[in-house]
Amino acid sequence: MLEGSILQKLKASHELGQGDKRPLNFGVYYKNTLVALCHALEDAILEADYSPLVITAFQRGKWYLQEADRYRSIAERSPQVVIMASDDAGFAEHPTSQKETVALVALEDADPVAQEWHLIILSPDYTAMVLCQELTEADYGSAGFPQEDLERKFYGFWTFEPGLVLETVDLAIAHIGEYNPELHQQLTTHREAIAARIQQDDALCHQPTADHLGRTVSRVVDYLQENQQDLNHRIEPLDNNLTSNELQAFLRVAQLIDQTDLSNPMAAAEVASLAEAMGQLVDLPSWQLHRLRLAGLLHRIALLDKAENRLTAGTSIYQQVESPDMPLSCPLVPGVQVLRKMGRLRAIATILTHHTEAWDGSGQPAGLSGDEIPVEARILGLVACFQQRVAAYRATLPEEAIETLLTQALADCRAEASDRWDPKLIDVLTLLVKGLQQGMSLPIAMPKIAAGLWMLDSHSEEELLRYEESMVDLTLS
Amino acid sequence: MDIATIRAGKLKYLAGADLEDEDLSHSDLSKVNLAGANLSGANLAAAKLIGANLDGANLVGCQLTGTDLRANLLGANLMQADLTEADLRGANLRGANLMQARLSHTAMAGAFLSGANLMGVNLQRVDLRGADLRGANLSGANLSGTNLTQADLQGAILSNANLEEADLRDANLAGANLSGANLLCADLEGASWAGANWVGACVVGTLLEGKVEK
Repeated sequence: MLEGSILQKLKASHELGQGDKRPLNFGVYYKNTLVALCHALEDAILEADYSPLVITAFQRGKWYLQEADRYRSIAERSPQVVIMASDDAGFAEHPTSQKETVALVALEDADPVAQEWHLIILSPDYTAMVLCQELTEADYGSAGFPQEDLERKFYGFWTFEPGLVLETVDLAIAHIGEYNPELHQQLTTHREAIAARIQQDDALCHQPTADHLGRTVSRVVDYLQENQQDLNHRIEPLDNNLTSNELQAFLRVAQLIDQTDLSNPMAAAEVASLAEAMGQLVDLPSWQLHRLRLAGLLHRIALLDKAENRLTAGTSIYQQVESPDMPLSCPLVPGVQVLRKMGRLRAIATILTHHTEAWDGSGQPAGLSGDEIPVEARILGLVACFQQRVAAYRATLPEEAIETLLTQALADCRAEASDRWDPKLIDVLTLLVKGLQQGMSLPIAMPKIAAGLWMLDSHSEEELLRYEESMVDLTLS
Repeated sequence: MDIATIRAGKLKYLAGADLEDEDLSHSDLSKVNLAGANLSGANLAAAKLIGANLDGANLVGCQLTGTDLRANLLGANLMQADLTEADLRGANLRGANLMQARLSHTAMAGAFLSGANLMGVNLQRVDLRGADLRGANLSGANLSGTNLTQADLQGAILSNANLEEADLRDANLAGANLSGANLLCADLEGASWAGANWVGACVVGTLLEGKVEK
């Protein structure tokens, strides 16, 4: 890893033992994945009134020139855009470079940042970044530097996390200061103003919503999929890399939702482990367990919108069945619709849609009852509620032993058996809680975000319910 | 031997039986003793073999897609078998031969694979959480993005293996041979690697970057 690069400095400040910071976990990105990702994250700027500070590193001026026309529109919506790249011919002459809000930093060839690819977007309502550096010849090993430009590899990560973006902005500003002290001063002023607004309660970068973050994630998935279709001769590693990043987009949202909920910051990982353990106890096949685990990790995305917006129609599926001239359909859940962008998450989307149903048919969104509710949705609904109750007790009774909290949360769920929950599953949960109280341990960890493909099984494109097709039609119309 | 009776799982003792190329798909062979049986080329797709004994069985080229193989496969020969979506959780595969086997979405969490031969096998979408891979031969295997959390890879041969983005959290790599392996962006948080051989390995973007003595 290049000493003195921004990625390396950020990684170093997150090494184990550096306060409460998490160690950074990197992934591998092919060039076309990075282009699609950056375009998607940049285009969010064109859609809403974010007025962000944008700092980029393009390696070489010629790569910037390929994007310079796009950057003209970005610069029109941003108070300040900084372009770092080595000084290739024409780099400074392009009309975008002449704009008042665009500042160029001509990197020296020996500068490690000239090997990096960055896009850093900082605003109160939207923070995002891609932070990568290219593999060196030695890193490629015996295979050597790839012949095809498309197969060039980078490593690093991308994120929506405001804290990490702000930290990186500081590193970038410091680096820019070595070239241009005046620009350093201007950027510091911008940074301070935005950081102050990020602290305020109404800053959306801390509040993932279906309309802001949801739309950005949809765009990320769209752009990656377009790229996948363009890969005319399918190159497996490149194709996998695009699929992996589609999944990463959702996992990163789930991660952000957890981080912004201080009273229950481990919900995704805990619900995933509990759901998988329940599935094991009822002996579900392994592909269903993986599906259940992934649904657990992503379950809070279903709740992205405000409650009153969650249902586009308050009617139940049964009322619609009674009037035969109406198309059979199911109300849509906005957060779940974002997941449907990715075909391989359709089954997960169905599980999430129905995890709020009740055993007696009084739940939402479709009023399904009993075995009509997919078993994964029944398990997920129960463990998500159970986990939430445990977390709530943990917050209000921090002195109490965990065993007691588990007993209390279980009692709350038991009281709702046969109304809200499948009574058989209540018995299974009781067994699981007993096990936990007797020292059984569940490994609780978020997956390595860059490596989630093992959870995507080949069944995931199947629908779980008979009316699902008409639901998809509705989405398209 | 009547195949219908076997398919129904009524015969419990089939050790050494010759079932080459037989169609046993969707059958229930749970707890059947098939030790040393010849099942080469047989179709066992979606069959249930929970608790079956396949010690030393010949399963070369066997169709095992979606098969429940939570069984004893000690020293079994699974060369060129198709194990797509097979369930091998906790299965005993010690010393088994899996060369050229097809493994995709295969569940192998907690499986016992010590001393197994997995040379050059593609394990990219295989769940190997907590698997026992001590001394297994994984040279040249594709383990990119594979979930190997808490796996025991003590003394395993991973030379020239592709472990790019692999999840190796809390894994044991003590004494493993990682020469020429690609560990680009692998996650090794909590992993141990005392005495591992890293000659020519790529450890860029991992937690141990800079800590490895080559």
